[in-house]
Amino acid sequence: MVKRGRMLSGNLAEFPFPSLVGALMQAGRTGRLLLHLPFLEAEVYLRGGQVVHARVQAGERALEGEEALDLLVGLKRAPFAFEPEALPPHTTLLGGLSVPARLAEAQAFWQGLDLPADWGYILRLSPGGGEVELSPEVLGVLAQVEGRRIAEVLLAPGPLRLARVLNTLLGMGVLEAVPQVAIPPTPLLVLPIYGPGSGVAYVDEPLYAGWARAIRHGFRLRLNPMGILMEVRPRPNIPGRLGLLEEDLRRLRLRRGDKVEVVPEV
Amino acid sequence: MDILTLNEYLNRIVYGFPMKLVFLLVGAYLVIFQIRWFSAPFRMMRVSFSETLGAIRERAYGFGGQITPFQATMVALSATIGTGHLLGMVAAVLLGGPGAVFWMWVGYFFGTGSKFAEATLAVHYRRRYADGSVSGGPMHYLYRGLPRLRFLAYLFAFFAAVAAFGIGNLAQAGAVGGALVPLGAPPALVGLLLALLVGVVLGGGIVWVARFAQVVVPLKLLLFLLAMGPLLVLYGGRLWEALSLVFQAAFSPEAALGGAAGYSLYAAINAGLGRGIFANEAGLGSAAIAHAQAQVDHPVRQGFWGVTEMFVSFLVTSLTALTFIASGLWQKGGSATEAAQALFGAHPLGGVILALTVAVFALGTMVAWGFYGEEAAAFLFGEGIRWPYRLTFATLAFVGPLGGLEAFLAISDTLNGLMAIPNLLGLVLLGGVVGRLVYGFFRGEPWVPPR
Repeated sequence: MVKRGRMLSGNLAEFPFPSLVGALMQAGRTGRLLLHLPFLEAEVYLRGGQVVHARVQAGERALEGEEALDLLVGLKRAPFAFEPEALPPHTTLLGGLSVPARLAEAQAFWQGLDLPADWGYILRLSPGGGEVELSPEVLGVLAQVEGRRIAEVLLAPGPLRLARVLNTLLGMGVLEAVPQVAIPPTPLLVLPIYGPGSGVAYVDEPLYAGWARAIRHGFRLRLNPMGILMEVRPRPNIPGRLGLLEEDLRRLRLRRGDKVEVVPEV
Repeated sequence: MDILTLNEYLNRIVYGFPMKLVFLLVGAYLVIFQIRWFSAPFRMMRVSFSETLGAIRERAYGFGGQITPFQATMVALSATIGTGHLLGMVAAVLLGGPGAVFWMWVGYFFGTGSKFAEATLAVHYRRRYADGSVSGGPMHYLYRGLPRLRFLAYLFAFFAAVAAFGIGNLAQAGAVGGALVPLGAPPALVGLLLALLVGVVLGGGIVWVARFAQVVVPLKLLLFLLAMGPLLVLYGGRLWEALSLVFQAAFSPEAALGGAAGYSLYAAINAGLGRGIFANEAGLGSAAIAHAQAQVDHPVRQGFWGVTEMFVSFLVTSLTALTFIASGLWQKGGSATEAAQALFGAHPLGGVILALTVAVFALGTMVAWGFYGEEAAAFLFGEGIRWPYRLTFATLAFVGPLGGLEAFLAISDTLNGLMAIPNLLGLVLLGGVVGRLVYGFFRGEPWVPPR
């Protein structure tokens, strides 16, 4: 946490939300605590050390009051800044001791869950098959989450209940949370790799490292125009090349020097 | 014993028959036991074509280095395809008869092993500098691969640096002069132009040498086809006959050639192997200096380019030999120059096409050898020697067409042959490394450069 002028700023990864709010309350501060992520914005107002208003917004959805606080406790990573002297537009919380108690309760709840730290991840049905038995409540949630961010799903009445359901679905493997990446296609020239095996594509180490940094999740490689999805591994000294094993070359009817566009996919 | 007598003695050793057998045995050892061409010959052939001719369309795409594998091969070919492919080939047939061609092919076949190993080791053991440039060749693989025998690296570098002045420069400049002066070009002017051209190209480093080679090698092949095309049309009907004579005369020249006097099996083998070894420079180690410059993900890929270099050289020498045999002029004897002039006398452009071809062949060889010599000198004396070496090389290029310096030429010829001794020893001792690299390549393993 750093102080810039009169502004206090940092990241929840280093200073968790309950401790941060607790510290501001103890200091008797007045002002606005702003949390900003590309897909979520939140503000918590304090007046004389009392939390009087909290609001979280993602897209067109918003939560206010205690539910907003409950949700923010689960947020593990988000940059924050405290603007002193800012006054709330209206009051949604009564302040007093109920806020620290609520924060402690919510913290205990979130610690029992294993949701991804990044709520910008997209939820999708797992590709693996298999039958599972789900309660109507869980099914109701499942029907609404496909292709949406975790933050968007949680931003509804009863965020803790939704979080528990999501945790169950992710734990059972019904859903998977994957980062949303928009990496442009990379044109590469086919390079034969002579050896046993198939289904593996090799790319230059720096290119692979760049993708891995951007995606921060396991990924595969889609080869266009064939539309084939392959496992991808880094290999030294092949800039501008896509290493393919002999068997794959035969299967895909590719030859050395053919141009292929590749896109990493989560 | 004075220095020239000693030189003559050494020359007989390094170009003698026993030495040719050593070349052949080293190549055979590498082909059979390390590279193992015969373990899966068709696969090896397919991979060889895929890695080289199949990769020509991506010739402009490197692996991030200064020059592409294709360009490195062009530099090597620029040196390899020289006057020896024309006049040397004619001389070999005159000396050994048509059977010499068969033994030349034997030399070429086993030479692929040496060339493959040289190119592979050159990339494996090359040095990479902070500015992205690389240096490699036998001196580097002998130095880094055989730390207890580092004197071999210094010996090779010394032989190469000095031989480049003579056989790679004076002899070639002399050949250019010899070809152009009869067409009316003043020797001093030819020398001046050669000195300027060589100085400018070498001054640009490997990138300019590669660009030059990329132009001059196709030009060489084009001129060769222009020179050979009409002769092939003229003698085409007798090519099968010539080919059959090659095989008949390979083992019993006396019986096959009837009354042709002086041709023995020994003469055929000696002359044929000589061409099959020295025309393509496999075993000498010179081309490895060019191959080391290629940026590839695995040294074995460049090894296959070494084989392609041999293949192109094989086509040029074989076409020359078969056309010469088909013409029947080999039976008339005489010197190689006279026989070549007689052969090209039937060409619509006459001796002009021969002169131009010889001049361009020699010019390409000269520039590439300038680079080889410079790299060898830099290994011995450090980077500071590059410009003095280039200037000396350009000066000698001026002297070449004017003639003279015969004693130096004779010594450099011996030094050129002596390059093979440390190199062949290195190829045998590092054969296991080549074998392991080939094995790893065909297991799909990435290359791990030595520390």
